[in-house]
Amino acid sequence: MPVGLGIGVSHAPGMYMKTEEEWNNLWDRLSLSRGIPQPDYAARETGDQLKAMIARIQAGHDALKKAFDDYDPEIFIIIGGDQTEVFDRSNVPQMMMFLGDKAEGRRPGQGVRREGVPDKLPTVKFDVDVEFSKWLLTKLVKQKGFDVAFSTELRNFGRGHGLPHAFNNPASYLLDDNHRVPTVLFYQNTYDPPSLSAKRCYELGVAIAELCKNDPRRIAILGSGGLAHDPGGKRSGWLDQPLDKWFLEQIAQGNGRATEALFSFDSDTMVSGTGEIRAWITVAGAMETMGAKANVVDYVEAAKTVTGLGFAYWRAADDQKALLAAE
Amino acid sequence: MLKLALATSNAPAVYRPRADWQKIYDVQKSPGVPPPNELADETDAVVDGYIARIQAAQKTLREKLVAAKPDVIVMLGYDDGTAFSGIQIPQLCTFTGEELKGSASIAELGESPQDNQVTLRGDPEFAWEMHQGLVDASFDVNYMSIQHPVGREDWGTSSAFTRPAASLLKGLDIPVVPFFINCMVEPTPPGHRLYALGAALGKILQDSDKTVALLAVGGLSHDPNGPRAGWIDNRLDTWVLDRFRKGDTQRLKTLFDLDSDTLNGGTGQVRTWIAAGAAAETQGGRATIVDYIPALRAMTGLGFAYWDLARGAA
Repeated sequence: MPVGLGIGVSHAPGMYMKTEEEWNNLWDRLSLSRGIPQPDYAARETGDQLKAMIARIQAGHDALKKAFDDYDPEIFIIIGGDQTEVFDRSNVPQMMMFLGDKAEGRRPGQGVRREGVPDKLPTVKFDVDVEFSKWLLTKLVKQKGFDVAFSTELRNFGRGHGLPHAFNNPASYLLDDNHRVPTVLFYQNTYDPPSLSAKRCYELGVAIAELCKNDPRRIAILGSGGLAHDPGGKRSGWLDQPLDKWFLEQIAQGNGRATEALFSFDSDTMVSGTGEIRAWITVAGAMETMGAKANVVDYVEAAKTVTGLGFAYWRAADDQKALLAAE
Repeated sequence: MLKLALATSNAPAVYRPRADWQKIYDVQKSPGVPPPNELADETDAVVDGYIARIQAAQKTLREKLVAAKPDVIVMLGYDDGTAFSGIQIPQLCTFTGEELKGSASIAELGESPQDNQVTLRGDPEFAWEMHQGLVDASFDVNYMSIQHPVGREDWGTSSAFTRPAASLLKGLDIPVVPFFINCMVEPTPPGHRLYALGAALGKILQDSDKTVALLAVGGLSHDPNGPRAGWIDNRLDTWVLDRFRKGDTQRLKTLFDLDSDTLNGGTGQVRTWIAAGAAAETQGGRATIVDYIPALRAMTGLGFAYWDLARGAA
């Protein structure tokens, strides 16, 4: 079947931290040490409540891993952004397809990288489906009106840890040695203004689903990042729960087009990490084209990770129905 | 407001005396690709005539530019393997920085990139405004706010910007916004996308508080070092120029929808003209074709045109 599984998931570094000490250190680094006034709910993230939160995050990851393994994709498209990790300011794309055959990036859960200090954990490795990626790139550029840049050679001009964490973090638990899926690495500007409109992101998803509808392989698509957050910014630690919940409600109802209202105006709460919701919107565009609505697994309001953490997946009903929906 | 659009070919021969033409030709020809018979008719006297016409055309374009008194010039160009490499090829890219440096030297002549250094002065505020406008209009445009060439580092930036800066724009002291269009590395954007880009750009520039001129650089038909090196598609060039003259750039939307030797190679730079034509036509412009010179020894159909968009002139 064509695109049959969609995943939307946050990738905040705190999601891979298992102790209160680690959470507090992160909170301190991103928010407290910068003197940013914190909302009162952040202080409640301690003791058993924090343990429950960590357990929910693990359960969310487990649920997505199960959906991924159950579907058993043959091609895995990841939509992710960059935070000056790969790109310097000499060539910042809105959309970019990576066409190298191998890529790797730093595994989450090991603190901030320090120059000269080796990582404790092995890198996350990707086998890129170059042929399919080229095909999809060409179709998007030639037929669908997307101006997608492309790269055959990964070069870190930014912070030098391989691929951006938007790709590494979800892949760190979805992909493993028993499940190395040929992957499409699609960079989307989720972070650097001026960035893509939500409408553009939704339409990108629609285009991907339409282009893939006659592909006999099982294709999964993942949008990485969000939900509302401003790490290290002037609202670091402040969650926008109404926004996150509204967003999740729309995708659960198959109403992703409504999310095109996001980023249609300028606001402090629409920039920074919140912009990563764009990747989810692309997945919504793809999966709604396939007739699917999101199953929202969980939403964890984790102020110390400075992020509203979302977990969701879409599963197209079956081959026939999905094909009809794509027509 | 968008007051003027210009378009010029950028073949190296345009910028050098007759003595250099054959040297450039010898470097740009392809082994095993014979030249057309008409090349033999291009005597030195004929080439001298071409050069006089090129200089006259450049003079006309420059006069138009000076008369328009633009606050800023948006240059629609391409990369020639200097700014970008396989690390990342953008389809579209706005230069939003203060200064873009490069060399107007001609590698085919063995000239050093250290010579003929050019610095293009940018207009960051205007460039960001234009860039934002294009992104808002659903164009997925890269930006370059610092210069970090990864193709041919020593050369700084593409000849599409440096050569016109060193000749047509020399001494004018008008800031520029270089804008890269992928004309070469597949997959390249199709004609309809360039047409839409130009139309969006036309509106954005017209709505600007500044007086703006557009300058498209590149083309027309040529294929240096390619399977048709030395050949010019006169029929294509003439038809293309006629579309601009008639204000009918929309006919070029399908130009690159198929694969063909005659559309590959340098001919792909016609994309910059499509964007300029579409932009000018948003203001009712029709091109004046200053000259068209199918100069075989320059390996290029050389085109020079302008769209005068001053009130009442269209």
